[in-house]
Amino acid sequence: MVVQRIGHGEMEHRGARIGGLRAFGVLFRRDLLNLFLNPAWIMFNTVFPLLLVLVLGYLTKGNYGGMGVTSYDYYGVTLLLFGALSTGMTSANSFMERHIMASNLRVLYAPIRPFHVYSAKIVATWVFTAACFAALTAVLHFGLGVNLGGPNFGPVMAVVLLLSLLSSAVGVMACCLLRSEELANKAVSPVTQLMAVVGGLFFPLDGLSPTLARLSWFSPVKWVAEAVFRIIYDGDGSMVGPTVAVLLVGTGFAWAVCQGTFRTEDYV
Amino acid sequence: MRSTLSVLAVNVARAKGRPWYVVMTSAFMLVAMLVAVLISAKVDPRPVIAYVGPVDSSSPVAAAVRAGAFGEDAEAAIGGMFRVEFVEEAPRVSQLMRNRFDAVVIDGGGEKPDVVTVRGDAFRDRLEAALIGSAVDAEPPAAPRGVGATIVGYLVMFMLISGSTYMNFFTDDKRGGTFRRVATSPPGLPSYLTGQLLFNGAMLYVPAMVMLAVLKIVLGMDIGFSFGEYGLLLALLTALSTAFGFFVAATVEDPDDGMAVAAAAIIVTSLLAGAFFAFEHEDAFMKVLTGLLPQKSLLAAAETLERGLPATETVGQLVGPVAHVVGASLLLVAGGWAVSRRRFRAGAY
Repeated sequence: MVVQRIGHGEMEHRGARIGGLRAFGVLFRRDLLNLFLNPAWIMFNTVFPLLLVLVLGYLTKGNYGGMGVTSYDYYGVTLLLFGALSTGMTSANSFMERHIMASNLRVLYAPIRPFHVYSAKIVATWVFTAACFAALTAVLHFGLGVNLGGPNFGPVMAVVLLLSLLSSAVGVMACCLLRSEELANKAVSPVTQLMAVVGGLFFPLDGLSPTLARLSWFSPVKWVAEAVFRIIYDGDGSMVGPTVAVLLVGTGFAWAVCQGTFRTEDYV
Repeated sequence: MRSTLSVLAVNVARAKGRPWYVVMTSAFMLVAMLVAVLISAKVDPRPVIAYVGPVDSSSPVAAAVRAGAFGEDAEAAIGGMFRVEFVEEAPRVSQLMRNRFDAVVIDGGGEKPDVVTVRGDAFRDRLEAALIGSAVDAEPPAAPRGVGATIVGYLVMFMLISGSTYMNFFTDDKRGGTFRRVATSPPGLPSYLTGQLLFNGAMLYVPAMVMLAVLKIVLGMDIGFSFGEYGLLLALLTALSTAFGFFVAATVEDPDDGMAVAAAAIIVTSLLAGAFFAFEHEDAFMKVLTGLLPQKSLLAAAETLERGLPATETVGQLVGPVAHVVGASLLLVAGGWAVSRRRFRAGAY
């Protein structure tokens, strides 16, 4: 049996390495199950955005009414985006959870690429939130009559889900970069809220003043929201392509940073 | 007392090992304050109208608009109640959805213009009346908040979220056995918990005040209140943030779950309380419900200070809100304390 040295300094027995896809699959299933077994996360990704839609929609009811548009139409969309944006909180929180630290450390000693450890978490969180959003959009659409694009529901959800994937990768990236889960949590949460406020997800900023409208373009969510609103209300999909491209490039970048900064030692 | 001080000393040493905590909480506070200053400085609360039509037309609508807007005095357009922007093409519906414009007026040269809006009928009626020149009462002014109250409003959510940052030390201690070790020793549980609460409060209060000083003295911005007034308002906010962070840390053992629950509760209640902008609740039930939120009283205190009434009157109006916030904080601390003690006695740690 040939023994060779690889990147992280551990010994690899050629042929003994578990096949990439299978290793990924095992970790992915476990990560996904962990997320679904935690009621706090399920609530955070379903009941919480719904509650926000109800609260904000109720409070701003008087601001809408023309052309068959209700305040729920506005907040249903923006808070779905807020939910997607918050995916990073779920991934950052579940990446280095204390009770999976030991098992992940064990995994890292096994002949499995570290790549699979964080990739499985990114993808599992994404799939988990996608399932939550499926339930959420169903309630929004059938319960509150929120316009989610009708025949253009596909492109709308594509943008929402890609934002969620980016956020998931960024959450894990924050853990790798900041070397600590608790620090990553504390960083990701305010950043998320700040982007949401500046991007006009909690209340529209555009009408307040032209300066403010310009300021809000600094929030990346604003662009995503613009793309989504254009699809739904103008039937204009011209921003979908660039938005999807930017989201994918961002995701790739975050993934690359994970690859560059993920250190097995952080699990010890 | 001595043991409380040693808890503080130990926490300071721990915080030194994690300088990012201080840097990050301070940075977020500063950004929240900056956004608040920018937002309150530039706001024009009037609805925005997109006017589509020949600018020099002699249509009755154009005349009503022109009365102010086409002359030198654009402020006076349509009775000064609307901000008018002249556009070549009608804006997209999505721009109406996002409140870029409140309504689009399409002037075809006739008696009555076409009004396109996603806002309600009351708004449309007012606009249409104004456009054909009839006198309309201005919308009751929503008395925009000044810079100071806006800053406090924006800090509410961020400070409350930061309130759980340093409670990590408490959670770590519970997990690592330090908590039990200290609580069973002579100093006991009270001095330990007091130490944690004091430390957490100081780590919120001091950076917030320093960042306000940076804003005012270094960046030379107008921050509304004096440092004394901020001293009081931020003390209240700090007390509430610390108490809530402590309550969550004491009741939810897993810090990750705690984070999710706390963030959700903070965002919903802060928005309901009108942290970012005031809501007028028509519904009596909602009025009572939001009246229970301590954030609402905090904002009321800030608004009272902003009104600049005579000292005796101000103090009189502050008593209620201050008592509410302090009472709510004490209640949260007492609740968390009781849970901690019960679980400790039951041998949970």
